[in-house]
Amino acid sequence: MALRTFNTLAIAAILGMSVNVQADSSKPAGSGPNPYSDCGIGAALFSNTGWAAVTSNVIWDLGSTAITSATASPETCSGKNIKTALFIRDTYTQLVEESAAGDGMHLKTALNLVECGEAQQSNAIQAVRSEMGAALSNADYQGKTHLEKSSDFYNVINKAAARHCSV
Amino acid sequence: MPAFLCSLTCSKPLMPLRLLFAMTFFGVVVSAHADPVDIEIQSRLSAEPVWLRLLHYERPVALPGAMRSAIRAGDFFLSAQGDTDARAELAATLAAMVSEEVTPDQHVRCRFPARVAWLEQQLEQQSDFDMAAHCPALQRWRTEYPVNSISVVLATGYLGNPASYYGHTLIKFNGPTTGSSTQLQNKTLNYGAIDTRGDNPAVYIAKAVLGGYEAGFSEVDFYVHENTYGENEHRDLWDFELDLPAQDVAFVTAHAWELMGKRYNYYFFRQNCAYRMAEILQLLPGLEIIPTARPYTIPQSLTQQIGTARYAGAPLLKQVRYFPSRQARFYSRFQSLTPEQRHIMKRMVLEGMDTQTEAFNDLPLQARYQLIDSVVDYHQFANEAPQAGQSQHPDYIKALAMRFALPPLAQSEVPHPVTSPDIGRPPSWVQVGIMHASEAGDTLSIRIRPAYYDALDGDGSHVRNAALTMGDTQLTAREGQLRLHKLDIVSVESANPGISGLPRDDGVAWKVRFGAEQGKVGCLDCLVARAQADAGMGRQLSSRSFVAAYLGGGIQADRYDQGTLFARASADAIYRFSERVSWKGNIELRQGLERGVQELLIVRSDVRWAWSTLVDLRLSYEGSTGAVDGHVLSLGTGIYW
Repeated sequence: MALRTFNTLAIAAILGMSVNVQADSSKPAGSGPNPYSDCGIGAALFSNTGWAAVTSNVIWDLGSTAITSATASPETCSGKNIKTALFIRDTYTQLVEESAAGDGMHLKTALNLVECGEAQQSNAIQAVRSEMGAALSNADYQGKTHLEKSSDFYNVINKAAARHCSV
Repeated sequence: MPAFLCSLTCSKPLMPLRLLFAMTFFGVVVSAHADPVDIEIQSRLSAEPVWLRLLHYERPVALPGAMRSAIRAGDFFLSAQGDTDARAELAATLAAMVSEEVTPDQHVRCRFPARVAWLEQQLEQQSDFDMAAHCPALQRWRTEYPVNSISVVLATGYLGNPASYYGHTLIKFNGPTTGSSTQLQNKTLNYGAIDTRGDNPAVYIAKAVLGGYEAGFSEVDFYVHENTYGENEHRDLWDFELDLPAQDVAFVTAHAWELMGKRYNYYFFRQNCAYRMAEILQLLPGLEIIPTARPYTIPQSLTQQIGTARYAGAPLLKQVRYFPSRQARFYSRFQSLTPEQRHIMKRMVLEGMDTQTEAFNDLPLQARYQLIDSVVDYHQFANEAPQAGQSQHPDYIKALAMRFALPPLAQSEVPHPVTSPDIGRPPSWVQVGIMHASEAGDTLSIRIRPAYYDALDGDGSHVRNAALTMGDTQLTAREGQLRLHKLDIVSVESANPGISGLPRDDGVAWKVRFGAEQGKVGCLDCLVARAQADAGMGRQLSSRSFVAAYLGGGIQADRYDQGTLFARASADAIYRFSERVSWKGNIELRQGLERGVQELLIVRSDVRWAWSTLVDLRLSYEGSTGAVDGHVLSLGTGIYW
């Protein structure tokens, strides 16, 4: 079930990219364009694990790699941005928990993906922590979809990287 | 003509007809400067184990016959007979190595870098083939994912899916460990059936066992596995990093590239994920890690092979990493709380998050971290759709907000379990003992359990207090006669420990068993076929004790006045006196559902003493009163293999 669902979403995502790409490089870093809205990334990959779902002995025919490689557009929908967006989508809960703790493997990985060097990561983490702490306190946070939350985090971490990780 | 074609020189000047044929067949243009390889050398090389392993040659699974490739004929072979004729494939490969193929990514050196590397090493050749110019895809793959080391990853078993009972195995390609790089960014090679959609469980199992599914390798980021197994299925991951020289890492990685997109037939029992992963590593000369002790491949047994193997004069295993699941993290953090903290946590879960209580604010800062992290873990553990943002419990978000409000502090590490899968016991067990049956007297007992574990001998790679056995066969030998005493074709006991006792961690437990057993306790010749199932609740009372109660029933062959259908209530208790000595008791009240069938009270008790990792001693008792009065007492020594 999950495999079928994901495949459908992946195909829809890839098809969707052809009409949704609206790269806008004029906006400041962290405020978009954003691959979730501009590159047609579908809903959460891991939404369901039925009895024979995406698990041990069944492989992903259309995995995140498929989406990455199918995304050939520059800038917003570049491989790097899509890869970051997918990582955030798939590990969002750990990212927020580690942001709250101020440390963690997933958070470091996300910063690596936005090309934030090791020496600058602690400052970037402080910035992410501050923004995400404020975001969680907002009344509308609970009502947001997973993709909306992921998209917000994508903006937050890119903004932090732009501010603290520039060489 | 590309420059690389001129640099390939070989020892013999004559081009064999076979090679000419192969080259002609494939339309390969050969450089006039390329010297052919002597046919005797070709014959010798084509019989080399490494060459056969590069082609994935093996004995057919279904019927006896000559060696052939496990990979379905297609673009994995350059010769039309390549899947059955290793020499033809070698000749075709040699021919293709000197071809003028210039289509990007299509030259044999782009498609089969490991084959070419091995052949050149054997023939002491060097090539100045411009990989960057002719193999952009391979070059991009290598540049994007530089590999410094290789790991075998084990996902522990999962009783929610029959295909995952025994765990799963991956190969992980580890990038450089410098800087801030993390394990999550590494690539993995995953093997499995490709499309099982639309098949119900019965069809799924039948096709998986009989090779009815197409299978292949996929390349997936490690974080995807870490997330799927750890967050959704609550399965721990164990990472066994191998100590391999750089050139061997490059060789295995190059072969992984060759396998992308190739198709196999999937066989659940033998040629499964663990087998295929070991097979890839066995490309390395002299490395033998495919488990051979039994006709099926259990992922854990591969880790044990890795744990004891040596390569290039040193232990193969370099280090073991542990990726605890959400469940393991939750239980570890919950168990580190004091009774007072647990009480506060239960109120936070049951009555809602309230940080303004005196009890919470009186806690030291460190305790508040522990408490909040436990609440966060609990809500994600209890969440049936942990990745779906909108389903997050409001108290989960409140707990996170509380964590943000405190100064930053890394979450506490989860300690490694004492026994990692590589040093645990082997998965198969044979027991010899003596048995006293009230109706038949004394007899010799022989029991063979091909796999895997029961409630008393599970270790770090098994589900605690649970059981999973297949083909568990007990025989009795008396007066020259060998009789089947009991057969569990499949027996599964799933027990959530319910350590916190909180909602959704309340210890749901179930059992399913199909097979044959004695219709009357105390009899040795009263075998009946029986299928039985139970559902109930369990609770881990302490680190040593677990109890569970069940309601269930079964269907059986109608013999010995016990009817066809029965219902029952039962209870289990498990106590671990130490890591070596454990006990399990069971009491069952069984009532036949047909008129006139009397009720039956059965009591069972098993004590296990682990003499060593490989040997145990068990004392077992089973007694019944009611419809049948009888008992069986047995004492046996078991050996794991």
